[in-house]
Amino acid sequence: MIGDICKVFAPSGAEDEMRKFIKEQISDLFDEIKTDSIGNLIAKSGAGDFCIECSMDNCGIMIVSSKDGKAHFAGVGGINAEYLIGKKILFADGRLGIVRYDGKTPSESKVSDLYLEADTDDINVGDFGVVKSGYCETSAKMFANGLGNRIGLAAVIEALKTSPKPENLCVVFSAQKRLGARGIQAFFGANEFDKVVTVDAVPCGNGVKNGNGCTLVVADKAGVSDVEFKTELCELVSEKGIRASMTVTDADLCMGHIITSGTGKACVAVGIPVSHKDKNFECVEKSDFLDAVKFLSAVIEGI
Amino acid sequence: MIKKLTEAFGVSGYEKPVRDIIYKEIKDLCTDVKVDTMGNLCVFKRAKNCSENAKKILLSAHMDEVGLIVTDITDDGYLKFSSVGGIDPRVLISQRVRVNGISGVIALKAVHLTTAEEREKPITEKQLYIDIGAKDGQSAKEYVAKGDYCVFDSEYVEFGNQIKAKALDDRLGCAVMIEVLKRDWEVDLYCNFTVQEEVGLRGARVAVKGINPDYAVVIEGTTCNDLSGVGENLRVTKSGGGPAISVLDSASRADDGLIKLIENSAKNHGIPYQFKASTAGGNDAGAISIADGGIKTASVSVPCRYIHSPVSVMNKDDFENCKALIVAFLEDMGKEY
Repeated sequence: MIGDICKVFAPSGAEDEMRKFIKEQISDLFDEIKTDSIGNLIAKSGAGDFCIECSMDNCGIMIVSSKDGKAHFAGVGGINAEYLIGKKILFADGRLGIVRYDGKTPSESKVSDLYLEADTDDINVGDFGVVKSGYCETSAKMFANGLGNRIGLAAVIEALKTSPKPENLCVVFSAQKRLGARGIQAFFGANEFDKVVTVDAVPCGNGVKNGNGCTLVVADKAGVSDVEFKTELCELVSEKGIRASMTVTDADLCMGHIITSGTGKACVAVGIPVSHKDKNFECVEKSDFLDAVKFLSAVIEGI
Repeated sequence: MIKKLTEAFGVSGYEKPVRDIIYKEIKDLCTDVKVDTMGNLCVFKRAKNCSENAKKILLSAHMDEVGLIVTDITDDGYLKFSSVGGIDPRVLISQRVRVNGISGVIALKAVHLTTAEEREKPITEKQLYIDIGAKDGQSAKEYVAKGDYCVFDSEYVEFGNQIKAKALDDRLGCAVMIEVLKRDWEVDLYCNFTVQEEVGLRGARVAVKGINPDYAVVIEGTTCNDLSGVGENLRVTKSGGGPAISVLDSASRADDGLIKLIENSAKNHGIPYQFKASTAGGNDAGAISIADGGIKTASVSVPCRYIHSPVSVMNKDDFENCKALIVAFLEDMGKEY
């Protein structure tokens, strides 16, 4: 399924295809599924006092000029110019272009220095594109461009499909996370929950490694997990024999936005270690992914 | 109206003079008007048929402008300052300013007094000071105190088909909304004249709460780099190319459905328009689009050359076409219910 998710066209702010994909996967599991004004997909069963959040968007590009075979673009979300050069960019309808750079020192290039070599008659200002994911795998590892932005979503869908039908759960597949967690801010600002689990990739480094299971994030760049809720989840991990470590990370998993939204929320982030984050072919260990799925299944069953 | 609005004092945090002008213009044109705690001027005009099915449309434009705030007064009688909002320090040199009704000039140490190293580096705000003609610090303090706001002293001038003024961003948006309020509509119309946009979209965040409109349209001034030597991909907008519709900027992603509606209104009424060709910059749409669980929002902007300077320049046709586009959009929304 992860290979399929990686193929879905969903740059931040243009997530229609991903909403359609997710609905196909989970429509039988919830009482109600709706899309809000900003594009979040919200699935709810029962009162929905417990919430799981994961994002559905990926980084991408937006065309700013298109003329004479060259289409210039701006980044959508955190795009690193150095790793874009030579990449294949796909548009929603299958059109494509190749990222070119005319200078000699790619490591110093800016996104505004790059352009797409493409059929520019068909490409317009405001068109969104994404880097082709190129998903591939070995027996133990998965590789893809932008894999880190998809792995949390894949874990949540897999856990929902392998767990009993939830009775009191709200899952928000948030839009525009790569543009400043706008979907998260809109949704959690207007909805209250007893507890929230947010699921995302955690970059390797600072004690986070591939192959050690999933990780409970004690603190990220902008938030600290709720101590009582975290302790509760640690007991669950121990009881179910799931491999999970504790992490403090400099990365922003958006806990801060969730914790401080509305009247305040008890939130814990669950991370899946990703190496080479934001570079060519990010990597996730299959066993880490499966530990995250087991953990989320245990959470869903326990609600 | 643009002349009156752009020549008024309205640095972020002290928008009262601008608000007073607007209030006088619109107070008899609306169903309800209030000034909230932050200073936003929030106007409501009910649909002329009072239909319960009328669409609820929010228009938003900010009253504030970039400017300066006095941070210190030297013993020599000069004013040190910080920028309020985003200003390129290079545009400040030798500009005239007004503070508490008196004139000042922004000055810099003469070139022959600078070191070679200083001449190599770009000018920073810290090197600049305001000279208000005071003989010493004591004398300066009789007129100015720390925390006082300074505004660019720049007259409204028309040349060719262009208008030069300070604060076109976003008094042009305020002017459009004033004109719109002079007409009756088949929609429930909310117009928020907001404060403190230039310092973090603060007013809009508060003013939008509880309205829950079907659609929100922010009317703005935006960057226009159609200058010689600037590549096609860095121009953002073209002066004379019509109002610019934003798809994505650093603060918000416009709603695709709303973009289509605005685009259709432009096409159906023969109004020229362009798409903003950049993802940089941001405006009140950022605060509005994520309020109250999410609001379908878009921005329509008039291209402004030299924006955030004392001499911003806009094309008269772009302004008229922006106004025409908002009018056309409201007319079309009124037909839909």
